[in-house]
Amino acid sequence: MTPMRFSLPLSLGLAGAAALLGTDALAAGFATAKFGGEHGNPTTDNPTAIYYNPAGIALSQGIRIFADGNIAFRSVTYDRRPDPKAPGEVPEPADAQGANTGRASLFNVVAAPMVGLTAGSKVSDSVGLAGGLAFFVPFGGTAVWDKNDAFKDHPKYPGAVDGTQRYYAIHGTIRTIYVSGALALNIKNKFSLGVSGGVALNDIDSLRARSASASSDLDLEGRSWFKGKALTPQLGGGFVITPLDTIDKLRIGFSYQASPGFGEMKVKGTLTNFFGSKEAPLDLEVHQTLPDVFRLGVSFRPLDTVEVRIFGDYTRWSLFQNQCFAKAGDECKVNSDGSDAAIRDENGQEIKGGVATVTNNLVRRWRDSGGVRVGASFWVRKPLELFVGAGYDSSAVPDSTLEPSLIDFHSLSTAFGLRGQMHKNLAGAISYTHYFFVPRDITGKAEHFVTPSNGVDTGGTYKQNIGVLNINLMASFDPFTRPAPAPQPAAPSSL
Amino acid sequence: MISHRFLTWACALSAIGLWGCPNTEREYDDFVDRYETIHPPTTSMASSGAGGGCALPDAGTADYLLALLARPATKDKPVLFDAKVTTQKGAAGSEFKMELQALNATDRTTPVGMPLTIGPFPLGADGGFDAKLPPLTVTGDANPLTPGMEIEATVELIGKMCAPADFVCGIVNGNVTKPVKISLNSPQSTFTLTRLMTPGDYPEPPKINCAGDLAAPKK
Repeated sequence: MTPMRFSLPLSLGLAGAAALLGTDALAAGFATAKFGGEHGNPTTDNPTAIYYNPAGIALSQGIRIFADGNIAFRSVTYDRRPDPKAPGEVPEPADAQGANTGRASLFNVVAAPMVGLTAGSKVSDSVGLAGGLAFFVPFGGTAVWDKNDAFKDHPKYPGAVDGTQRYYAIHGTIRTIYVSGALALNIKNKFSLGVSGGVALNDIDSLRARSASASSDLDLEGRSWFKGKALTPQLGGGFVITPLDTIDKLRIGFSYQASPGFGEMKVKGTLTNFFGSKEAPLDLEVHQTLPDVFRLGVSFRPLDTVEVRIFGDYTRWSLFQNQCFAKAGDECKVNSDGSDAAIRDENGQEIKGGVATVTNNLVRRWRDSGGVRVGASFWVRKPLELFVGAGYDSSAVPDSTLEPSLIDFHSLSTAFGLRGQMHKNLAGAISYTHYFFVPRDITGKAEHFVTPSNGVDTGGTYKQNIGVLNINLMASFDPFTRPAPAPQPAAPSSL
Repeated sequence: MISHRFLTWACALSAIGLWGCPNTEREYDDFVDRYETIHPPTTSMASSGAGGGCALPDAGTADYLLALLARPATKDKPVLFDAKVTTQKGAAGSEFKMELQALNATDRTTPVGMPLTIGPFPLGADGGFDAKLPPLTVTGDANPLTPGMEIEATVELIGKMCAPADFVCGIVNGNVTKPVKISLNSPQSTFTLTRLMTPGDYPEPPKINCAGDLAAPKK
């Protein structure tokens, strides 16, 4: 195979995968770590363990190549009912009823790939060693909202066609892609320890309606578009205890994934505004902190043909306080009222000699979230596994800062699927998970902030439905273990 | 680095049967096209508050309220200044200068920030003027749109000043560079100078353009 023949399909594949990484929040906030379906958890030994718990890869032998895809079918409606007294809220003119109030919707079908490879072998009778490499998307949210056809080609208001949610989202993506390596150690088949690390590519691409004064006045409506990227390190680690006679009988796993960049990251990019005329893009940085994640899981096989699992996560979304825009190199701090901390103190008093540094700020003030999931597998016949699962995820976003670009709900989900060994070296699984989201009505509950954190009111009713089809294939073979020697005929005894 | 265009193409190719590839650049451009179809970009042009013949105002000093409306950002919330306008004879003919004092955006009466003297600017025989102000910095307390945020702008006032000059108006060109970058030309920004009968007794609400439209009442 020539390098060209190899690289073109690989490039296309990676590009296609990267382009499709706009995923939908399947857990709290915009966490999307559901690759592997029901088998993606902190006790697993397939290559998804590189993220969920790198210790898990030491529970497998040989080489495993894993390809996974989540295809999410997402529908959202937002019925905007702003508080008419909210700052910046301007009544709709008579000739534009429905431009800023009423229903917006989207239906997106988005795919999220995960690819991983692990290799593990015994290095002595009591010690096993494994390594792995994977590519996946633990955080991501994409929204492409429907048009409001009532305002198509409107002679007076060019913005309203983009929907009533447009002050927060027209098209947008926030996403973190990991390329992560892992090393793990297994001791006496009782205890495994693993670490993972690599790079995280964080990107934001967001277009929204905005006026220079952050009002909903249709006559002043413009556009604000930010596009940027940040490359940060990422690190995780965990352990798995397998105390019983076989490693499958009982597994207790715990893992920790640090926030990408280990704290505040700066997403470098450009902000392009249009307020009645084209402006040159501004080079800015978005200061934000993504969460770290703790995971705990237990899997137990009371019978050879039955496995039950319970696992959960605690995600510290409280680290995601603001998305703060400032010029490269400038501080980006805001007070509790949203004002620029460089020019006002927490009490609103002017800071003498202070120079404003914050260009714009999106107040998040999310809270920690948790999820728990129970599941079970039944081997009808040994190569065929049927599995089910059900789970709950809490919402990370409070009513006060919920808005259409990053929607979140309390959710329940159920899943079912099957996994089969199609060949001695190839297994595949398919499953479907449906997420039921508790609708949210935050009319009159949105908090309003002062410049530069101000925006139009986000009040209204939010509803969402997501169905996810998960498909994965795993090829496995073991070049490291020598086959047991064939039994020799007993030598005749000599007298 | 994978280019945006390639990603878009790859997304479209890979997403046969899928919906949901965002294209922010195309959406942004589409909006600009729609906007400029409705509001064709205009080139700078002079405007006059007074038509027909014009007698230049007598030399002297009078108190005014200067209202600057940054139209791309607001329809009815001007930045206000107390303005002492002095008209005089210069070497090249009539001219005027102004002492400006920004007013608090909330109460529209309290002076805020440092006073500023600008000019002199020549007056044409027809009373026309084109006053290119030096780079202007206005304290955040005078900012009616994003209170607390300092404004930096380059401003050009184009208008006509004819006796008795009780009301002078025109258009504003230039750019705001802080707190957000906007061009003042499209939609066209405007200014008014309204003579005060008593110093400090400002009209409420003030006029914001030559048509005599009024600012939003103060809160």
